[in-house]
Amino acid sequence: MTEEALAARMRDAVDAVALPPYPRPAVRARLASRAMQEPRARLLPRFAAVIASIAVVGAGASAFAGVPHDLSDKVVAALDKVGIHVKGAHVIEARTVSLDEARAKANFPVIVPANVQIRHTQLTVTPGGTTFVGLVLVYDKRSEISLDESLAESDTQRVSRDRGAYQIDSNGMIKSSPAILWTIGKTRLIMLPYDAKSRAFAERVHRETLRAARAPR
Amino acid sequence: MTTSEADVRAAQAGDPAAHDRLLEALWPRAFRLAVAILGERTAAEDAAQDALVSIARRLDGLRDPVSFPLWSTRIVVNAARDAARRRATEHQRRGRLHESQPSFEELTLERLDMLAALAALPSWLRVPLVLRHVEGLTSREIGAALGAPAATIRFRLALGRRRLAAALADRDPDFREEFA
Repeated sequence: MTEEALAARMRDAVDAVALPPYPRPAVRARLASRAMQEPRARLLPRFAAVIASIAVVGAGASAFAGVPHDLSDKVVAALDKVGIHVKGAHVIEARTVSLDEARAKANFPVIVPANVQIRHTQLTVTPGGTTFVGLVLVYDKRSEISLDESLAESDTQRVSRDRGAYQIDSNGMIKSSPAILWTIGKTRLIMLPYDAKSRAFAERVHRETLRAARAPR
Repeated sequence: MTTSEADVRAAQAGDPAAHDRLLEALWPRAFRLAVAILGERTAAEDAAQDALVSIARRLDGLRDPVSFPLWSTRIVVNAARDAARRRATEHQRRGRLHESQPSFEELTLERLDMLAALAALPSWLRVPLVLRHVEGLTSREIGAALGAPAATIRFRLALGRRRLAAALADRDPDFREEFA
């Protein structure tokens, strides 16, 4: 075997792969979205989780919260496909607030999971008056995932792990993903894990919220 | 790829046009590098895009614009490795063995064999091979990018080439004769 021949064959195989066009809109959209996040924040998981919660909580509705206002056309088109029709006036931004402020403004009891680090809290109020509280939780040292809470339609305690949700990437790709959706009293909670680690963490958060809700105040 | 040092400086100074030019110029290299490491088009596109976003975000922290090519290579390699790890975890979760299945309609069987054999190598052998033969880096540069001594890289390159040749020979009897 000659090293050069092997190297030439490797280069030839790689060079023969058709080069896709530079995805300028997607890169710009992701950079713009990232600019709105805090430094060191991981955009995609949180972004996907927020959108997914909205997709589950408000599928079919035309107004929803928690989505950065600079959505690319692709993301808007993707949301259209899953029945969520976004118009500029309806797209509003989540605001980072203290946990106390979120508790004061939410029209449901905000449940904070025990033994879990919270990076920050986001509050969103839609033009229709619906309030969402997002707790951005830290796991595995630096990774983040959002626990989104809203007012439950009924106070029946239940949990669902197989209800379909949509994970929408910043470049508009749609993937279906199972969400963990549960209700404690008047609070509906949802998480969208995106890999094995985040799924294990979401299960732990589920248990910790139940524990927190049972704890004497 | 030749990246203009001036573009790097201008992008760091906040020139959006230079920023755009820099990322667009990087795209072919980032994609090809990711393809060579991942052996799959969709995953390579995603990883290359992740790398560009990461490069754009961290550009301000780059002290010496001259080192941009090697610095950006390291970021692309890390993005591709992360993607490979995620894919392996996903395959494990689904109870399937990790196996590269290139899906390139435009490639000949011989080229597909090469990408599949490359993707089947462990990452510690595959990445140095790709950086050497696709990117044209020296052992010292590869070592700097991967955080390993040049001598270690030379050993990995030699072993990687042997394993790659053996894997190709298994897939293609003609290759065995050609390179025997």
